[in-house]
Amino acid sequence: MRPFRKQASPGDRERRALELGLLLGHVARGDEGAFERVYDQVVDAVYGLVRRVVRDPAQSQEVAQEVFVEVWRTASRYEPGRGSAMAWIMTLAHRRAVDRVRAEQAASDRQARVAHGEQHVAYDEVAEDVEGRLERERVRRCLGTLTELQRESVALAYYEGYSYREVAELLTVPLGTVKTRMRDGLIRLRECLGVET
Amino acid sequence: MREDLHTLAGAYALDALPGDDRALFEGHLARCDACAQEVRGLREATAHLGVAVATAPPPELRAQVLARIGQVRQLPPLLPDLAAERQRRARRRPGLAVGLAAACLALALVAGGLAVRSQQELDRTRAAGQAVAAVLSAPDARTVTGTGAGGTATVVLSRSRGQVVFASSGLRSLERSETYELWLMGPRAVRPAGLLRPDAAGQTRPVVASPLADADRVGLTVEPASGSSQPTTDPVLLLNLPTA
Repeated sequence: MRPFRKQASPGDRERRALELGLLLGHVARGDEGAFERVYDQVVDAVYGLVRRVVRDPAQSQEVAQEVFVEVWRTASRYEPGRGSAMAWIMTLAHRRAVDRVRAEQAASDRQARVAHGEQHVAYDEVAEDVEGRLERERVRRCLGTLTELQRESVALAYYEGYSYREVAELLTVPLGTVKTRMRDGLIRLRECLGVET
Repeated sequence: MREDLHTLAGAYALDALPGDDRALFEGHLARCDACAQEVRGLREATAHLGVAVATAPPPELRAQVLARIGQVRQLPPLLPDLAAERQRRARRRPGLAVGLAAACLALALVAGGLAVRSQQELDRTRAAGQAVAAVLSAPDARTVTGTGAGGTATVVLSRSRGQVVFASSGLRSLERSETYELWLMGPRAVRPAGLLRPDAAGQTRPVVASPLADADRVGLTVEPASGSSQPTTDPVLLLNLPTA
């Protein structure tokens, strides 16, 4: 009898994911040492994501700082039964980054930037540890299983911080289509990544 | 409108909803466990998208952050909220149960990757599924979703009713000589719980299986067309059921 498919991953990652959840429990009780360990574990991911969405280095640094203060402040609200600690932190980070972008920039401004093709973070900025590289390859492979419209909808929303209305406008497809492509795309991504919920 | 709300789960998980839509959807989330569960799964996927663009921060960020948290008071833990408790109780009132069951049924299906695309389809499902609705609206109803090599399954179980609802998608089509068979698996016995035939899209409609008894897993196997009394192949799908 075969058990459910597990993530094809170094066992290290699962162990660390569990550890991160436990550390957050300590952070919730005011343990600054635990907070430092959380910071060290997730800072590349948090900063990388914020930087990807916000772009401006000075603003990215500010937003990343806000995210970590938020992690510290609200650690007691993390519920281990409701998803991984990493997803909780990345959700905070993404929302902060998107809110900053929405507040700061007019849509036209960002459209111009996309038109100029500034889609990718320069390669040398990317953290180059082995685990990070494996993760990137896995995500790239899984993004490759999406249809083009699913992939574009997901990427424009997640990495550029566009609203679904803006995405519909950019891709010149109906709003309803964008909504379903986003959901279908994420479901497919989730299945490809073997995320357990 | 409700159906429309469900399709927003992806946009919500991507933070692609503008403020008013976000608030509307969060109101909906608070009332539908299956919906919240779908969003959680999608958030796990989006987190990977974020990790994939990891970048080393400026070195001074660490000291800035650590200095800052020394000045920020932490939130106390959330205590069981009376308002939320009242809402939960209200939701168990029979009058509300049916509407909620219907809304959550659609969501449970969506969570399993099954799409209920039209209102008629939902109505048909609802009419065929009074028994299904009863499980979905049980006060202790819990939803479990899992993906295995053979497809994706969603199970809603109610220990108090001793029943589960099972729906699946992404199943491969079988030879005429074969069928899918559902099993309730406990430490002492593996009991057959019905034969299932996926439609052309590889989906099976929600069915009720009982008695739950001591079952702690639900499995789906491929069997000869007439079914078997015990599994003869390895499960293509296997879901652990919460025990409490």
